[in-house]
Amino acid sequence: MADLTGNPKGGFPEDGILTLRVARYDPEHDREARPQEWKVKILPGMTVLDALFSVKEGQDGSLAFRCSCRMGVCGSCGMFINGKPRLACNTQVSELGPVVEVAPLPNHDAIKDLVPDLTQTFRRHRAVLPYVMRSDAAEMESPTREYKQTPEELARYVQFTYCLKCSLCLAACPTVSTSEQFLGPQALAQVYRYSADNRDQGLGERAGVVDASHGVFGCHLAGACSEACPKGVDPALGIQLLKRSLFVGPPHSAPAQVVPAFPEGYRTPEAAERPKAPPRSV
Amino acid sequence: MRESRLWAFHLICGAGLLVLLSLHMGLMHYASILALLGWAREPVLSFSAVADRGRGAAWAATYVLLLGFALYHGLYGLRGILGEIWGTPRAVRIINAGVVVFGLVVLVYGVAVALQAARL
Amino acid sequence: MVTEAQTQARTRAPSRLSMRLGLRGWVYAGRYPAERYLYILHRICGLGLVLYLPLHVWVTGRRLQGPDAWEQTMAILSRPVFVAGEILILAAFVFHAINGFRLLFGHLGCALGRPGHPVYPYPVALHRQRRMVVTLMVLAGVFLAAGVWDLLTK
Repeated sequence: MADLTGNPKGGFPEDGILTLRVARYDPEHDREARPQEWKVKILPGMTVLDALFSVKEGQDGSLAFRCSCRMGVCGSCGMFINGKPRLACNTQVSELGPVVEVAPLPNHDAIKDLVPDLTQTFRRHRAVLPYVMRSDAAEMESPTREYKQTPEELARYVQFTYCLKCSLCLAACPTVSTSEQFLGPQALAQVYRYSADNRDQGLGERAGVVDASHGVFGCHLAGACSEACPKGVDPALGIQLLKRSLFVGPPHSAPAQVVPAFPEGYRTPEAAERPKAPPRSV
Repeated sequence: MRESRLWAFHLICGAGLLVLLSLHMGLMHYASILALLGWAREPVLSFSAVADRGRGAAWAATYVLLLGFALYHGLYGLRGILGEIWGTPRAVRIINAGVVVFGLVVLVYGVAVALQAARL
Repeated sequence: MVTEAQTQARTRAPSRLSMRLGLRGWVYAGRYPAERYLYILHRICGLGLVLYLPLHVWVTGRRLQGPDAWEQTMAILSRPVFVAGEILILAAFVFHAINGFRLLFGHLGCALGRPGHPVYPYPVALHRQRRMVVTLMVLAGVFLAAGVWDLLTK
């Protein structure tokens, strides 16, 4: 239905009907996942999440899945869709063809149907001290002004700040598939995100958590996490840079300083040249 | 010891192996090609050739170094793989002890062979 | 009316369906590009090599028993099954060494590019190595072919 979706790759059947095959699990009755199929009428711009909603609204109200923003920002609707972990709201059915297979995220526990338990992901995230750490605690607690950071310094870590904690990278990671202790790509990339931030001085403390075989050295550069990431965070890159940082230190040599305050009544030279507001007319 | 040190040594051994093991394999497995280029003289696996290579401190030291690199690199890798399957603290202790003992046994035997061969 | 069994079922800790892939996840977990398969191949080759190492050390130790014992061992090792095994070991070494060369740089964050603002379509650092991967694998094929030729013409 290239005309319907605007995507020539689609290859939909002429009748515009999609087969949605979902691996279902009801904790009160099932011991393992059972497949169930529905037919869904394709609409222009339909995402996998839209298709799931269409089933829930019109065919089977018991289908469980989790979502919130429906625009690839909240990271709630991570699922295993046609052989890859993806965000259901970020995946057009036109990319997938006439049969869409959806299962709960691999390497996680499924609570019901497509709802994964992300407890372990958040536990790992919290374990790596994911916040800016400073030695000047007084300034940190009650700041007088902002810390100075140039656009170049921001560019060193900004891509890792886009992490949604959707857990798709953990679903893709081969080490996570056997090891429960491994911190996983999400948390490790966040360690680099904070450690490479020039306002931060916490690499040494975080090293106490990640300098372990189940920490950063559990990564063997299979790169699947970066393929799965829906926001371009590229955890694999962050983790390798983190390994380097453990030996040579973070990319900034000195922590960012507080921007000095302007003297009382100071105005920039340009301010004098700026035209004054017109006189009030009323 | 901190994992980063162990891991760095794993990488250093890997780099060492790239050089030494490539030389070793080049000598043993690419002899026909070396012969084509006019560099090899006799079958590399004949007893006299093997005994010749074993003689002398430099060869013995190279072989021992090669063995040390290979054992550390290989067993560190094995430890990592096993640790990903059995990751409980107790299992990790057993795996660590196992690879150390195994590595030492093979190393001691290998060094003994190299030292005796140097005197053949 | 709520029966006792129903109350128990409700108060019981909720059961979960484990989707953990286990060892299968090392080999195949979905549609991923080459690096994820180079990873498991690297692992298998490494395991093969580390298990072969003590055997190899033992065989080389046979020369201490004198020329006869050595030639006898070599005669056994020239049987087809051992030659086939040797080819496998050679293949494992060639691949592990050449892929290891790539990983050596990768693990230290070299040849992966720099992080920056993610702009769609999002770049993946490992893709920057793709040309290197292809070149190295071709090189591995050439070395392997030469080594097998050497083994079979001995």
